[in-house]
Amino acid sequence: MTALGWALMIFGTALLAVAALGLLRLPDALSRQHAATKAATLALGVMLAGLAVLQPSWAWGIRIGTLVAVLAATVPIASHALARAAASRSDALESD
Amino acid sequence: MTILAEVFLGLALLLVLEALRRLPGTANRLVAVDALSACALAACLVAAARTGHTAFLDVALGFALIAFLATVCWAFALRAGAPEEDAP
Repeated sequence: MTALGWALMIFGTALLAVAALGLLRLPDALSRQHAATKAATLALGVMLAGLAVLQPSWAWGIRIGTLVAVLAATVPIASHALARAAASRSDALESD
Repeated sequence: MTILAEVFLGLALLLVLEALRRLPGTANRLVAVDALSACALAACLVAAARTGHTAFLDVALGFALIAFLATVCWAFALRAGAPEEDAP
């Protein structure tokens, strides 16, 4: 179980690194945000799943469940607000 | 072998900081700051897994709420009209 939990943690951090790479490689602000937000949400979810495998107790499960709920509720809202703000600006869609 | 988690996390942090340094314009930098807060959350989770203390998860919960508020406030400020060119 420990190996599976740490494998999930490592996979989550690797996903985060891929998200950061997408931030550098993609051409404009909206696609950068598409990479950063979705991949980072998946990365944090996978890491929380690994943590739940590592520490199977109620004290951890409650906090992990709350974190998953908070992330699933807030990250799309923040991403949407940021995308709307970025789309209203002239420097968002030019590729560089 | 589990040190790979910290290695990948450090790689992600370096890439995000490089993006923050290199990308032009306010909107891009806000996206990079958003990714930076995701990296901080991941660091909280790795610390919780290393030490076995649930307190790091409480820190992560508080930080997730703060990062959400900060991103939404910056997005509204950007929409309301921050300057187009980079501030010195």
